[in-house]
Amino acid sequence: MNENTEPFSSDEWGVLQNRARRLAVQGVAQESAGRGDFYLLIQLGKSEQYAIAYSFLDEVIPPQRLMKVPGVHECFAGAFNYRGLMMTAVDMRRYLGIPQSRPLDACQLAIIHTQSLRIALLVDDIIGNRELHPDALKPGLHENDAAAFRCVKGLFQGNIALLDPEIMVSDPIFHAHKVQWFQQS
Amino acid sequence: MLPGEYQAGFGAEPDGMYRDAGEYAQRKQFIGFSEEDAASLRELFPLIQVNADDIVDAFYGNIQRHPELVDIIRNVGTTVDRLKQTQKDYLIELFAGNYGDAYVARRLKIGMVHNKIGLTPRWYIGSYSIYTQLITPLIFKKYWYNPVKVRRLIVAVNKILSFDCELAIDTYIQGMIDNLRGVSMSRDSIESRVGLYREFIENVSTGDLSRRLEVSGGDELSMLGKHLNSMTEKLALMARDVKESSIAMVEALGQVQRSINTESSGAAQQAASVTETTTTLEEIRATSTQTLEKASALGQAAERTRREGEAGLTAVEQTFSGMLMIREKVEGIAANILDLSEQTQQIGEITSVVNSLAQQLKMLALNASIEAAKAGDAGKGFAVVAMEVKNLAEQSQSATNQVHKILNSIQKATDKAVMVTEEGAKGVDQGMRTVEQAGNAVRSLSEIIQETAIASQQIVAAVRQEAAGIDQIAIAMEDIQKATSQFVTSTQETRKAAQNLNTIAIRLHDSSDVYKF
Repeated sequence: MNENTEPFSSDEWGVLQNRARRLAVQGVAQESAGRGDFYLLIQLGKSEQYAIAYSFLDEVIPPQRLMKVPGVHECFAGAFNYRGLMMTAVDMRRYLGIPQSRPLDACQLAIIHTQSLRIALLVDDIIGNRELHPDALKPGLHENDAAAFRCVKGLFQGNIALLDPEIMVSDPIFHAHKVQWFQQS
Repeated sequence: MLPGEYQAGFGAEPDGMYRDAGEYAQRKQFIGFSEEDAASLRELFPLIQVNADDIVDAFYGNIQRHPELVDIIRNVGTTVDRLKQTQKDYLIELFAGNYGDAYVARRLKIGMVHNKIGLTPRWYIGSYSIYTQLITPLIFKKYWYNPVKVRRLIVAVNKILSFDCELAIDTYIQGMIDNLRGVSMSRDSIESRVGLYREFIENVSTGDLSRRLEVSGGDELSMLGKHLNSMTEKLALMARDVKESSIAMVEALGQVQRSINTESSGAAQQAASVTETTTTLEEIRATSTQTLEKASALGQAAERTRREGEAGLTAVEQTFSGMLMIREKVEGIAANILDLSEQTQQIGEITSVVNSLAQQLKMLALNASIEAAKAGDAGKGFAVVAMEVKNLAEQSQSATNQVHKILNSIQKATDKAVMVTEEGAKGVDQGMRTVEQAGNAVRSLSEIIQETAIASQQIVAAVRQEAAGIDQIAIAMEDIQKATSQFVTSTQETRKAAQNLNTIAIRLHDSSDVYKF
């Protein structure tokens, strides 16, 4: 890298472009070789990991200042201003009945969308992303027959639970208590 | 040469010795004194009268050079000034020209008076030579042009002075005759009285002092008898005194002998006591010497202790100074650690910021990968870049976490170090107080040691003086011992002398018994 503040020369710029091109080809090749899908890994509680498919994801954002909304289910942590829109934050720990490891103002948010709703999932931590092959998905343990756990489609690698946002938002609690105004117009 | 008033006072009268006028005329004829000489003397009268005062002054000036003559004048009870006037009259009369009986009588009277007052002839007759020596130059001076006249006048002067000298010798001869005239006694009377005196002396020689001579009269034998009686009386008194004294002496010597015996016994005891005291004193001196050695050793030990005490005090002061330095260094370390803690905290804050940035970067990378996924195949390359960025963010986050852990460890260590330094500072303070207390104790101890050292030095000096005093006492005792020995010897000698005196006194008493009072 040039230590001077002058712009890159044409040769240097060319080297950098080639390098970026090779890296991109290598990553595609790895993905092609893996043929998997990308998932966002989140942490709920102290150590439980969950995966959300990229197809539901809009964005991950840092903790926001939430405004409590009275008369709603306890899993609704509050609402906040998301780029000029009112966004509902669902505390996934309460929804799934997992003990909290962080306060609300320290939890991060993942903005997802379904066919009917656009919603923010409040999680203890966002671990990162992971490319997982759909064939590696194993059936989940259904010893807990709670409605909330019907959104878990299966397990990757025995410890990563795959969440299905469509099933989750089909839960009646997302449609009770006049929560229609939460829905994106 | 005395004035007339004193000549009269002696009562001398020349009448008894005056010869007839023919004899004096014969004397004048013998020396050839004639009327011509008398005329020559009258011719000199004016000259003598004018120079009389000078002649008389010169005459008495010569007399005053002889103390014997001055004493005679003083004993007479007059003065030289009063005598000068009479002498002037005498001088002028020599040249008056009248040399008859009256002149001779006055000259004899003058000679007798001088004999009476003890003026011997050698002074009296010698005075004529003085007159000759004083008058002759006047004659030569006045008549120098006429030697014949000078010779005539000098011869006349010599003749009248020679005549006066003869008259003076007459008075002295007459005085001696008068003295011899009183001695006249018969031979029988003398032999008789001498026999009585011889018998008296024989009785005295045998010890008979009770008898006396019968004496009357004023002659020499009578005076001898009176003296013999007086002598015998005094001998009797002396013999009586000797007898009484010998008796008293015998008694006194007896007492003296008894006293000497007592003194001799006491002196012997004293000598024994002195010897015993001297022996004891020698033992005391030996003990004193040992004491002096011990005291000197004690003084040296005290001096060493004093030096050690001062060294200890110095060490304590150095320790105190060292503790102060340690305290300053510990405080400096604490301040440095506090600074380090603050800097560590600042680093932690920076690390937190970096961690937050890494987390945000990771989130951005995730969002980028999400956007890449939305782009489908076109976004796969971008997804790879997002993945790498996410990995870098995670590595940064991991690194910041490790830094945070390390900083936590450093923070704990610095906190602990601060605690330790504070405890160290407290320990140093406690140590300083302890050292200060120790310093005070050592200082007090040093003062006590100093006082002890001074006291030990005083003890050494006192013991040394005591030893010197004992030596002096020993010397004095030796002197006393010698004196006592001498006293014992002297007592023995005194006892012997007393015995001898007793013997003498007894013998004296026996001798005094011979005399009869």
